[in-house]
Amino acid sequence: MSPRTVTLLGWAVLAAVAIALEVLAHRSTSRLVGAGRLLSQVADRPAGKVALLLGWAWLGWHLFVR
Amino acid sequence: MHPAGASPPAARHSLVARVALAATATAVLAGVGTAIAATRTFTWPAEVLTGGVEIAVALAAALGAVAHRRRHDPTRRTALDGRSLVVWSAVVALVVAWELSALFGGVRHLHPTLSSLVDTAFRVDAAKAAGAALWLALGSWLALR
Repeated sequence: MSPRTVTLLGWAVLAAVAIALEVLAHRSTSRLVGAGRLLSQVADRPAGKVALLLGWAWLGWHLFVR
Repeated sequence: MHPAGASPPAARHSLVARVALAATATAVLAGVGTAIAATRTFTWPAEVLTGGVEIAVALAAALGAVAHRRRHDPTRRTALDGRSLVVWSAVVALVVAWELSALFGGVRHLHPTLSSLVDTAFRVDAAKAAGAALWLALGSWLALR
């Protein structure tokens, strides 16, 4: 198996884990909250909101400028 | 009085306002997404456009924070779910670890990072426009909530 395949497989596994957690979180009996609701809870705090906005700004700059 | 089944004028007005707001938001997202997709990385138009969007969102967040402070009691915010925070932080830590191992793993083609995968997808203008619109939607949601 080539290094590229291994790396891509790793990304696929991580994506599958995230999707599985999100699905699990949406079950009525789940004690886990989804990523969106957790982000919402973090953004409810001023420091959390500033941190998320800084991360968002960095992401945009990284993807569309540099 | 309103006939049975007919919505009162206030409800109708509210629906029209919501539809107009959604249409405007969609048009702005599509317009900004298309404009960003038309720029190329490492150029001044990309810097001006992306930086301008970031400044606008930061201003909206600052104005929203002032208005929010006037209207709401800061002690009444939703509780942070500790268990979920740990689980999702572990996922983020795994993503960061895998990204770093790819970044320092050698030849980029053999060890693609998330950025290099996204860059490949963004060679298609429609994908880049959709990505930019999604990015702006996320920033707007953060700023206006």
